Amino acid sequence: MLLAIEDLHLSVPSPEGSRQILRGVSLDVSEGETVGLVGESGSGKSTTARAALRLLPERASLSGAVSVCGHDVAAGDQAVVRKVRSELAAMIFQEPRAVLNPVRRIGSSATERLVHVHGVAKDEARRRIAALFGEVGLDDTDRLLRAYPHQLSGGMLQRVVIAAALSTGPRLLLADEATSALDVTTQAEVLALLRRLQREREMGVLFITHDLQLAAAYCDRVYVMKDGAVVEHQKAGTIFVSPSDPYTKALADAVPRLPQRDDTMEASA
Amino acid sequence: MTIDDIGARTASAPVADRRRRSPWTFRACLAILGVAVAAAVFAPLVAPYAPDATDFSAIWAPPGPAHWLGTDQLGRDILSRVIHGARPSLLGAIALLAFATVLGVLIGVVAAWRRGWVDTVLARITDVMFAFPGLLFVVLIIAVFDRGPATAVIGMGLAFAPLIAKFTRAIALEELARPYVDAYRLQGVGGVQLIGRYLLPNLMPTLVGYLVVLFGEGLMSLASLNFLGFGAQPPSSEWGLMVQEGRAGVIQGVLGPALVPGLTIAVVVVATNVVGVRLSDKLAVRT
Amino acid sequence: MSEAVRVSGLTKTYPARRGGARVVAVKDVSFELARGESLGLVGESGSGKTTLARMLVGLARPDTGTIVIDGRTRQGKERGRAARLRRAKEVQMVFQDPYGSLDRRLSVEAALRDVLRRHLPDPAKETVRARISELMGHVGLSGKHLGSRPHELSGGQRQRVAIAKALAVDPAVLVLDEAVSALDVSVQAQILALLNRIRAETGVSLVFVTHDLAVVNEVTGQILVMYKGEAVERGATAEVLRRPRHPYTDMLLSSAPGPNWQPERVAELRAAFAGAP
Repeated sequence: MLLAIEDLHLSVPSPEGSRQILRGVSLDVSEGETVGLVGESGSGKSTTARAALRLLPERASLSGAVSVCGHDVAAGDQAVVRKVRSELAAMIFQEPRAVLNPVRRIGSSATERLVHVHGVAKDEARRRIAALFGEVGLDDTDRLLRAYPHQLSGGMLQRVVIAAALSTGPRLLLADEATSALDVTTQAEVLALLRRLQREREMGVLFITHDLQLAAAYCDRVYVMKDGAVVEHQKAGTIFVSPSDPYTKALADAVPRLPQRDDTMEASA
Repeated sequence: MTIDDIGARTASAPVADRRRRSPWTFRACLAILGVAVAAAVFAPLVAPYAPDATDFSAIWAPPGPAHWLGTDQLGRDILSRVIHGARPSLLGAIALLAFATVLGVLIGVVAAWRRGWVDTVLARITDVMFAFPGLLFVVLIIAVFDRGPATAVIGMGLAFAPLIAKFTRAIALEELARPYVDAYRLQGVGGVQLIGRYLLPNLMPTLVGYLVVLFGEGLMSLASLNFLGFGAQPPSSEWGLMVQEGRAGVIQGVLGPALVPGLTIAVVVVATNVVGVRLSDKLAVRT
Repeated sequence: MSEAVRVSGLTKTYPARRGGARVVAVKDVSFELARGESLGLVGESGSGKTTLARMLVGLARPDTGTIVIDGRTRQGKERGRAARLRRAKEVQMVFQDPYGSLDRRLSVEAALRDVLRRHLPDPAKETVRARISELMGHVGLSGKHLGSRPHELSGGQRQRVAIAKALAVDPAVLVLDEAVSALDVSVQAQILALLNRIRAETGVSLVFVTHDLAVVNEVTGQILVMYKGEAVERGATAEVLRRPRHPYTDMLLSSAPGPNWQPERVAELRAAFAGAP
């Protein structure tokens, strides 16, 4: 098991005493598996993902078990947390522009983890990143390494971030709305790429999204969260067909849909 | 918005904690400003002596029951002079700020609203104004007019205006980029009305916090000018001028006449800064 | 009776950043929209759909081409209060960002009153009040929200207020620029249903600017697909979405996540599309 979260409760102090953010969340991700975590704003899906890296709100109190590749993240000491964050898991976010320092060159940002955390020599790190850029479908790597974030499109930046995340060979990838800000065509491209990389490396992916349809189409299994609790857990293929929880059903019904295609284009192609 | 807001909120919390001074400091500073304003308003009622009442039998008297803070080289009561000095000192700073604000906000808002060449021209003008030290402005103006409180205020006002103009332009640009401004335009609201009735009130909270901090700076700059003799003239008991007149005593080893008004300036400036920073934190909460 | 909107030959270019040729944002776009109908303006970022929408409402000026709304040709150079108010009645817009599209100083009631005082022919207290409660009903907000300021409202409620403000002007056309993209799906569904109902009740024509084909499918009868500034496909929404004629529309449709979605196939399509002239 790459990621195992069991009965996770999380609360933060508030003016009225304390506010429950997570109420008994349990989920797991295995090798080579893509697991969707779906919910609307405030459902606690991002907090759950962040808890896997012990990126918790300040003064939060936590109970339950979180383990990554068998390492206890919830109770472990700093060394364990550092090992998980730097080697075993990586996280990518919705806004690549918010992650990359705007005044530093791509090459410097992308090799940061390798150089500063893993002690890889600068030249070697650049060589490795350049190779990864090729794998994520970015060409002209020399020019790219010297570019600044504002010179690249959102889709290209997200590829850069993915390459940087993969540079340390993580076993688990946490993707928090990683493609939500992209155009649908770019989103499909990035996801096709992510799927290939994941299969090659036998990585586990926790795919956090607000888009139930995307999760159903892309993931193997899907968890649905509401108000800090998991309300549904199913195979992705059946979640629209037979949702067991009324909330999932409401969510599925609310999703705007496209009409059935007449596949004339495909016939002619 | 699908990102949980918890992370963002907690990430900013420690920063806010550090910037927020403990409430008692804030309250003490507020009290200091209250005393200063009260002194300015009620000076004749609360001061034990007239500010220009000389007593040649008590020149450079040390603090005592008759003169709590001692007397100066003409035997004038220092406490009374400091209390009376509050009015010209504070009024001077207010006048300076009012003048600079009107000019600066006008330039800043027009530059942000019109953009293009208007913005460029105004930016060049403020840059040129920026390049001159405030003192130079005053010297120039004194060369044309004469020395006096009004000259000092106008000169310093011209030096402060570009600061306010740049600040206003920056926050106005940010505000104008918000879609509600476009919504007002589409409703048929004209430019002047949009600026006066909707834009300025929305800029006010941010602007006021900034102006309060500038007030302390203005007070100090005016005091320096008066110290140099460019502004208020004797027998005024403006604080900067008092420090200047008190220098004679410092040589003789009598520190009071210079130290008391000097400390008063320092305390009031620090108090306005504390209050201003706190105020701008509170007011500038944007939704 | 003429159409609500008739646009012909609309072109807009922007100066390139460093000399060079001008960047074409919108190129020779024409379309019509009948009264009480709704049109979806779809495309990816950079397709020119937002520029087109901003020209439609008058926030951007076209280089060439004409826009006729509600039977009157829109001109950029009209001045004076009367002209401004008349233009306002022709078209209004609801913006994407529910946080920035309301004046944060004004309560819901104050914001609506502000619009109504400007636009009602008889701005007496009672008529204004009656119209406010009517508008609140239209957008499905209860009276208890009248005193609320924007920061006290949820994203969905803010968008409802923004719609109410736009409707307060009683425009012939309402342009919605990604107005539901930032909302959760359940809220999104409510707002879309609301807009459908408002169109039926008031006869206002709607233009939805969005990247989301499924949203367009839910609420529009006509569709205009934009790609690199040009209108590549136009027609009845149901028809275009079932049988896309232009390869770009086909690719967009294949990209939308759904039952038979294959990201790998989209990537192939896109690569082929980029290679095509």
